[in-house]
Amino acid sequence: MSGWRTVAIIMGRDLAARRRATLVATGVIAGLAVAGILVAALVTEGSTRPLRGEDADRIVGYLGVITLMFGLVFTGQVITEGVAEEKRSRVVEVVLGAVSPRRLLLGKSAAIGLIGLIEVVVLCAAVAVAGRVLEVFPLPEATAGALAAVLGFFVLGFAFYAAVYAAAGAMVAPHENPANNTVLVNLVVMVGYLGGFISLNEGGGVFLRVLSLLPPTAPLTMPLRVVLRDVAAWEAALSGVLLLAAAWGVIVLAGRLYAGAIMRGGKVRWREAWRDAAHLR
Amino acid sequence: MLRLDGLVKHFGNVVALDGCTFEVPSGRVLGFLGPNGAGKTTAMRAVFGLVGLDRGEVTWEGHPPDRDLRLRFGYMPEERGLYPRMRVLEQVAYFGRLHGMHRSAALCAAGALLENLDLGERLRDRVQDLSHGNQQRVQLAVALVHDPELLVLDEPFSGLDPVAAAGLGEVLADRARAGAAVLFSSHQLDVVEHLCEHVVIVDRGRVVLAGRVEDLRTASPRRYLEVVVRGAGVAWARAVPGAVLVKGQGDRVRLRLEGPFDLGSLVERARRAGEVVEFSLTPPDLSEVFMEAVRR
Repeated sequence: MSGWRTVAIIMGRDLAARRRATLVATGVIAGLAVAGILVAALVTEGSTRPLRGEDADRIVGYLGVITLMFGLVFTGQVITEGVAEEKRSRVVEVVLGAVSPRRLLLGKSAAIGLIGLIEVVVLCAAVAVAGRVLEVFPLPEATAGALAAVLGFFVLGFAFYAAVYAAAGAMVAPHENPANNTVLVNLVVMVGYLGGFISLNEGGGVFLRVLSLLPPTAPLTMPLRVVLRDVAAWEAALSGVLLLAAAWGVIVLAGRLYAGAIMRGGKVRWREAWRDAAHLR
Repeated sequence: MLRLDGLVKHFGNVVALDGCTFEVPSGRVLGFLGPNGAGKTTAMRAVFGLVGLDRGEVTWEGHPPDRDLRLRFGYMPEERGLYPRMRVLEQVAYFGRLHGMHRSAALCAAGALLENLDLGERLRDRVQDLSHGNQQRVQLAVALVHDPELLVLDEPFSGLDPVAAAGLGEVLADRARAGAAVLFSSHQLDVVEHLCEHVVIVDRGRVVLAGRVEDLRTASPRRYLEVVVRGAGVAWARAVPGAVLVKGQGDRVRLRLEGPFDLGSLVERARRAGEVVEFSLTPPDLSEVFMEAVRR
């Protein structure tokens, strides 16, 4: 049977299993976005100083990065929980009797990533549409670029982080809270998030430039530069290529840890998981 | 035919498999027996490539199984596992599809199979809402749905009442008659003795006995005497020369006869103790064969 068909079947199950939760979450996100715009409209009613130019761009940039940060951390958390759940219920051994760990990981991550992407799109669309309809603000010039950057770097950033979150879920001991294992990964995401903001207040500069090229921090810092039109096209492209290449490496490494850890009971050690995966392909 | 050839596996200092070798021909139900920690689970996992072997090889019809070949196998791991919130029919069909079946065929086969397992009323229920016994049946359905050529079941009888165990034995026999090779493990030798004709017994990662249950029993040079003498208890049996009391409960005694014996004098001894209600001379049962084999 073709590997892609297997991946698609797994993806279908993971999507179906989260149907209701996704609907609720998407509804809440869209509702909050619209409500936020509504409140903003009421508060600023009659304001004589609408945001324009660079100030408006800056706000779009902030919002984009906040969306990315929450998008990546929340989707990552869902992957960790989904993997840990499969391990806890022990269904994973039955699945791995038929499917390679690589395909299981790919199908599950793709399904959850797709849900995350849908939610990010819904959030952006809700803000934009509500803003237009309520005539709260004219869409800043940077909006189109921001949308493209947020969506593009969400996908790339997700590719980079998904397998790491999966490995974190696979290393969970049965009685442990899976969230404990993701603290470190979340911290790395936060470094990009805070680093971007801090350096922006300092006026960007070399620090932001470096962060936006380093794969772990690029998904959260490069969109900021794109929105502020503070980046050459080749730089954005280079950042994307580096991120993609790094994502490949991370997927290979974290994928192996995942495969080695997912069937081990008790507290999983890195070395054991690594060694144990040698035969699993 | 499934063949396990010289499997060796160490976990640190623990030897799980130590040259384990045996075959399961198609059309046979083979009981894979041994005490806890004998290496049964490790050997079964090796069939599905879930354990990295230090040495040895698993083959199916002469070929080491790859991913596609393994789709023709069915597996029930010792650690039972299902998606708790997934519905019964959907779940069984899902595993059918993972084994290469098309959606409609998988749903069809899953429905029919669950009907046969008396779960026809529960198709739309979530697995977590079923009783333990019914979850076990769903687990069995997951292993069977794609009509596998090889069926590997790790401790399928554990937790089953005698009626359910007999029913499962019947299902396995049916599959074997239809041409499948069936391998199941158990450490309850007494339960399994009547459910399969052929057994392999492992201890410390090695096969210590293999063959037809009947042959293994009668091949033993030892004989056992099971006697019930009404109202006599077990005291009289302790005094029988050349015999060791292995079990005594109420008036029922089981003696292991050491060396040659004279049946007539044994009957005479029992008669002197009281009214003989039962008197039978038997070869060792399977667990006694096993004890003799591993000298415990």
